[in-house]
Amino acid sequence: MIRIQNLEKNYRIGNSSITALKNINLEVSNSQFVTLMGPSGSGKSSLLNILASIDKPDNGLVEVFDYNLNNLSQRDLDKYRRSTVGIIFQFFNLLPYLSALENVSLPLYLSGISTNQAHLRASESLEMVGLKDRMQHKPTELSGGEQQRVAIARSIVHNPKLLLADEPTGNLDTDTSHKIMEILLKLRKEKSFTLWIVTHNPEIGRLGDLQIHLKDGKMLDES
Amino acid sequence: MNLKLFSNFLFLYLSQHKIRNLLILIGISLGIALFVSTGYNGIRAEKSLIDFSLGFNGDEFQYRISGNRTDLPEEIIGKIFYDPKLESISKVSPNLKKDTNILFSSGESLRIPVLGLNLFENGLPNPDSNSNPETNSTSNNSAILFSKALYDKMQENDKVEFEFENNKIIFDKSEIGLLDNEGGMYALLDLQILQAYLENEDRITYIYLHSDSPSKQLETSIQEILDLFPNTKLESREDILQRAEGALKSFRMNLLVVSMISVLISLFMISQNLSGLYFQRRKELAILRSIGASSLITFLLFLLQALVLGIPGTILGIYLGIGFTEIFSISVTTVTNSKQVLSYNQLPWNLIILSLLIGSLGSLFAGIIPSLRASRTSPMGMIREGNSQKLPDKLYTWFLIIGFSLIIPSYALAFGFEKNTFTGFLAIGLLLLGQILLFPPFFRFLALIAPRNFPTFKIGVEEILQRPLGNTFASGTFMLSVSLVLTLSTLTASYKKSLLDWVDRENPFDYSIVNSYHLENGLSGGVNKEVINLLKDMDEVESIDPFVIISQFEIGTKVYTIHALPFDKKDKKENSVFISSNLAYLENLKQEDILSIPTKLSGTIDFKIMGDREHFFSERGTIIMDLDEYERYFGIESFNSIRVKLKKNIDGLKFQKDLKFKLTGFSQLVIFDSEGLKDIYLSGLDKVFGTLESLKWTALFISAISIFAAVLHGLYDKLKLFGTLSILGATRRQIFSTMFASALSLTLSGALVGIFSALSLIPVVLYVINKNAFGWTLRFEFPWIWIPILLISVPLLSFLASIYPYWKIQKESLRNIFHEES
Repeated sequence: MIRIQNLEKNYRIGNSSITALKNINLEVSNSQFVTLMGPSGSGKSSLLNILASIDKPDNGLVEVFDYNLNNLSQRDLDKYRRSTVGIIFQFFNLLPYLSALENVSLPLYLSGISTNQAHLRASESLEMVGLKDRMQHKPTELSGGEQQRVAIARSIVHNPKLLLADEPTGNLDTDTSHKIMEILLKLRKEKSFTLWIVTHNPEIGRLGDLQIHLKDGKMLDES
Repeated sequence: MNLKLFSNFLFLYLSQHKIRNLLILIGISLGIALFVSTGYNGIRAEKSLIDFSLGFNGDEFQYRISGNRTDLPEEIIGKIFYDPKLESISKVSPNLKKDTNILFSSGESLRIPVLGLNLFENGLPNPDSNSNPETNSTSNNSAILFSKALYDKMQENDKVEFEFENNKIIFDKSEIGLLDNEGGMYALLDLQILQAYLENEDRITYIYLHSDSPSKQLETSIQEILDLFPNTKLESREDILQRAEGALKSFRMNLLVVSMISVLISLFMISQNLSGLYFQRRKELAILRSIGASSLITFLLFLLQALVLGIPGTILGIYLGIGFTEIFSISVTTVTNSKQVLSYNQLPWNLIILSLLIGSLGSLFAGIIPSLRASRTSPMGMIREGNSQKLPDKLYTWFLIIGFSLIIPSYALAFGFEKNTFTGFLAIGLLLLGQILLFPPFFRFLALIAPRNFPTFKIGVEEILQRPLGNTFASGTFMLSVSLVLTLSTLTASYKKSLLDWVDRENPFDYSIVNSYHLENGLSGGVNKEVINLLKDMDEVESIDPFVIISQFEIGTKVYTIHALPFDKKDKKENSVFISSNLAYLENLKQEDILSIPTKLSGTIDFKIMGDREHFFSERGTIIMDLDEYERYFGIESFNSIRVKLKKNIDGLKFQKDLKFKLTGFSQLVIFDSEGLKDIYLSGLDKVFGTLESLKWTALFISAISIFAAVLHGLYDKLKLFGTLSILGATRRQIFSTMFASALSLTLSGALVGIFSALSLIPVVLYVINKNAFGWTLRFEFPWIWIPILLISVPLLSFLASIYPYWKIQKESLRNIFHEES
């Protein structure tokens, strides 16, 4: 379960303070698919960043499964990132000099899992996203869609409970975008993780079990 | 384009990246400071030596007559003055020069030349033609004139005492006039007054001749007169300057090495930092291009960036170089002393302008390629281009091929041209260039062997390959320093070993008696002949071996050393000498050749060379003469040293104590055992190599800054990498290890290639440059102590270089990292 109560987030830019999120309240059950929509500056990325532990809330409560994201120690933060959450970025963020297999293995390396074991699990992940034959290729040798699939494989290799995707199809053409969404939804079914997607695309937005609209940092509605 | 845009592009960047740009400035300025400082000291030393050689005579004389280790008779003046063939001689200036000890009222003592001239007839010899005692109001009523440096010293004192052989003369401050010259520490008196103080009315050291029409014919006519007076010598001004040139040779060699390397290090620092600048600022450039900036504007903007960093760095370096001359001091020749050298204080404007040119042109040169790149890429290309400056795979192979293609033939160049130091230096240049080209392939090799079981470490090593050219300069600077340190340390160690081995062979004696005052002041003699009689009375003594050294013996335009010592019976032959092996090499002399030596008592004598021997007294060459022959031709007033060998089973300490007691009446004499003697020889060597020590440590310091700057530079390119690793769950330790791996790759590459570089340079420096310059064949000795020092320094430096960037990363918010990139 993900529980957010009275969440508030402000940013200081120069001498002024900007409210990114105000009075956000919601509960998300396990394995739900959440879509987060809104115009630019509405606070969708800010909310995702807090869930991803990239940022901290100023006020309110954010509980993700057993983690209270308000005051995690560094050790717990590392543990949260390694075991509980997976993240997919719009611009992939793959390491260009590692192969697809090594990129996917990276979270496992960081957890101290042996190279052989990590590669075994990574290859399973890559197979799930249909890249079994491209494991040894470097990101520069893959298309945009293939790179995003590698990023997806990396985000699920450690069996997270929560998968966050920030505009995962924002950099891809329509056809590829559909394929990526198919993969994400398929994986969600197989692995039962909670999926949050930030999107500008209303088509993708409508796919969510829970659709959240933000405007000026506030929730408009959820459906 | 708006000027405000220019200034914002250039200066706002500086203010927003203070630490990074500060490191660049420090690196550039230190390299230039070293260049300026060694050059400045070099200029001072040259001026000092030339003034000394000319007898501190700034007049434009054409000829000088001097005695061969003896005074000149005053008669010569009359002969020259009245000879009808010498009518073209317009002025005859006799000069008396006496090195004298002076004692200030503060207690400080100095040894300076005191010059006696006909002050009231001929004016003053003065390099500054605007200064003349007749017009200089401070000198008109003065009893004695001091050069400017000496006069400044006098300001802190009331009186000064001169020790003129049997007379001590005290001058009050009010009696001292100022001679407004450029440099040098000396005093000026009227000739007759000085002769009176020395109690020798006829004494003259030099006669300076001025002529409006110097010619070979005139020289011949003068020589005809001098032939009537044995032990006299005629030299032209050019002859004297040529001799000074010879004495400066080894000094200039050191200077060239130091200057070359310091300039190279500065240029590397500029290149290293500018090579990454294009990628760091590409988005700004893309924006400018997309709103209408032309290729030319983009090119100029980038080039100006290079100057905005390079010129202030150069100016700072010049200021530091002049200000810290003492720190980057270069040891001067053995002909003049450091106090004389330091008295030359005029700002070296030529050097300052040259340094400005080098710094500015170097910065421009370093900025051209990134500027061209910036001007040629389209706005979309700049936005789309990644952080990576990766090279195509083919290029790594080319670097390897070209690198070795430069290294291998450079040996042929170095060893193929006998007695040519220029080709030796060229070979060194090619060797270094070839070795630098090996860095990109070496980085790739490191990435290949990086342990896969340590992924954060592997990532750190791989990151180096994302900026191969910029990192080449960083590692290259470290390589230069390591190579320099090892090569120079090997040179010093080899000299020391060769010298000590020679001392052991040539000095199988237990004790040496030396005059400490003469030793400290570089004077000949000092050990009274009576000491031999004292030693003969001591039963413990098995053998006594006195010797004499004349360290500035002139033969023609060259200066040598004479070492007179007792020969074995079999070597005692009339009019025969040995020469040092370096003299034989440098002057192409061999056994049976004849060496004409001007002697004090019997004119010029032809000596036959019996052979050559290893000898380390002089880089100019040594003539080794039997002591009896020396006494016959030069006379002996005192010895430089008397060496004593004891009989077997004698208590050395007791003997030393007894001898000290016997020598009580000779206050300046000291006794050295064999270890003490070695220390004396080594201290002489340390003076010569002192400059190399400052160069080594400065180079290491600059290269450490280079590594710091490289790691910091890469930081901003790697923010996203570290952000991604953090998001994926990397701990702080893992983040640090990634950074440490990058720094270690740079430092380790520099160290390993540096060791390889040193091993390749050492034969060239020892057996080509040193051999061609000084003729010595040294015994190779490698300074192994540096290997453990490097083994500790490399990881330590890498660790330290990672601390600040790591701290920066921790402060950076992940949100900002990902927000900026999306």
